Amino acid sequence: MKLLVLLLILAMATITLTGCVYTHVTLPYSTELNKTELGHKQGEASMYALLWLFAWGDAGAAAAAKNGGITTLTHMDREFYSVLFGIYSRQITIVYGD
Amino acid sequence: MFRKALPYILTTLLLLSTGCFSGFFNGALNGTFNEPFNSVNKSFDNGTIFGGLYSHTIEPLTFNNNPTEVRESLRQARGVINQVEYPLSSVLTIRLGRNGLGDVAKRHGIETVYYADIENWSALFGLWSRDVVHIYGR
Repeated sequence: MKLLVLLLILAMATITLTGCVYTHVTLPYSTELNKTELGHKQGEASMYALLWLFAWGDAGAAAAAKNGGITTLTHMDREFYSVLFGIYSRQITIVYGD
Repeated sequence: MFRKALPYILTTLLLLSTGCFSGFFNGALNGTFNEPFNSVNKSFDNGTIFGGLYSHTIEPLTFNNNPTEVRESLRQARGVINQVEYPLSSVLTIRLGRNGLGDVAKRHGIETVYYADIENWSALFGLWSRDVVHIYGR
């Protein structure tokens, strides 16, 4: 019976937690592009989370633009990195422009 | 039987509640995301960056495909929503504040809004949270 419960839980976890052991993806904030020139500069700003208990960081557009020396922003992506179901995770805002 | 299965059930519930389960992957892979204002009452299934005990993060609120001026010389206005919520039920939530972009911009003398970020504070699993919109413009 104990084995059955364990297998059931493992099956549930396998189905529902796909990609959670390790995740590292980059995704767009906006997909409405139309001949959008990205510009020559790129800036990043990050926020972090640890143990599902603490989260901190400035990943705002203003901070990312400031870090990249950008005055005109043309496009934004975000990068998400997570290990072991989110024990540690980091989200990076990536801005493009001039 | 139940007592023996309890650790497994709790472990499963913990894993399901970490954000891997739904929030991030629901829309992220096809380019759609959670509503930005979901950071008020950041829930377990929000799925991105989550800090239950204490959280203080800033992320973009607006994004579009038009070139946007982001000079540091832009004027900045802030709106605030404070929220106190009994974690197990939203019935007892008290929420107060103004975060309307137009409303906040007008009250701070900004006539043209360029872009906005959202700052979220949260403590004790959402018992207290605060959303601050940062509006930049002229």
